[in-house]
Amino acid sequence: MILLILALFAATIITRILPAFFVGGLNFPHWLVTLLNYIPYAALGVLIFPGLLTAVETPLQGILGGLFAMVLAILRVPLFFVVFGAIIFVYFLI
Amino acid sequence: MNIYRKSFMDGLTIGLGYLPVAVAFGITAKPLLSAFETFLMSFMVFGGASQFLALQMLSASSSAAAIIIAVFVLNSRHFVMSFKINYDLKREPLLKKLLISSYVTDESFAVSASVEDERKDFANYFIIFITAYIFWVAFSVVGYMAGEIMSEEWVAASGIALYALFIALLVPAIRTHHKYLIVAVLGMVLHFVFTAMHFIPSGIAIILAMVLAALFGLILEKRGDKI
Repeated sequence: MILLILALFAATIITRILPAFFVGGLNFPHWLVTLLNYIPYAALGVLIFPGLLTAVETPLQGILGGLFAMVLAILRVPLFFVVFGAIIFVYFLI
Repeated sequence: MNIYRKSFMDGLTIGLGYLPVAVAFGITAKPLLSAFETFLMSFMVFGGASQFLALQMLSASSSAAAIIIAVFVLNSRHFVMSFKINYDLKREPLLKKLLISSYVTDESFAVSASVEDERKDFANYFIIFITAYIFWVAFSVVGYMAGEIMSEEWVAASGIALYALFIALLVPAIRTHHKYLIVAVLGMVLHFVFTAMHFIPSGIAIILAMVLAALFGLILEKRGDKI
């Protein structure tokens, strides 16, 4: 089991650290820099959906919880309290 | 000093999101792993989805090779995220970049990508990442030892935490420009479509959706700022 965990460590760390070796020394073309700047927003979309549908017990509760978090964020509630507020909201929803 | 406190709060926010997931991991691991192995897995792998996948495959008695390959594919999305983080930290020495890179997760990436430019350095990233990491490892063990202290409803409700985090990170970006909304929604749609195609492994579906949606953003920008 310990050996398997060490192998999983290797399998997960390789892709994480690989960019550190060659990013920085190189000068990236303009288009690649622009592409990289869009990655976080694309990633957020990908991470939110469709995972949100299976986040809680039912898809509807997930969507309502997500909408509640969105309203808090629009009202400029700090990050920590958006997360905390969403948990409490869904707790009462269940 | 104040900016470091801000980074610590960001780390704490991710940690709060990790807490229920880590506890759930500890509870799920209990019939399959020893307490030390549970600790070691969270300590060394540090990836919620990957660790749950490993447990699921262990209980289905998959071969070690199959587990390693599946986890590698699922986790390979971090290559794209780490690429961006290393670009933001390109002025830092290699050792510091390596240290930060080894703690890249979906959540730490999403949070660090949205911090102000003045916090895009080693010290602030380290504070954010290590705080989140400590929560992950500590609460995996807590879940293993005392999973029953959290009520079932509480664990279920906490499933929303990481999604609330992602949504809260997306909203301010959309406020600055609606092109980010277009890219994010495209990412959602693509991910949904690729997930529905069951022959695509979930790790690949994430990468494809992420890169294609970002590419669309690039095309939008290339066509001029008419949007």
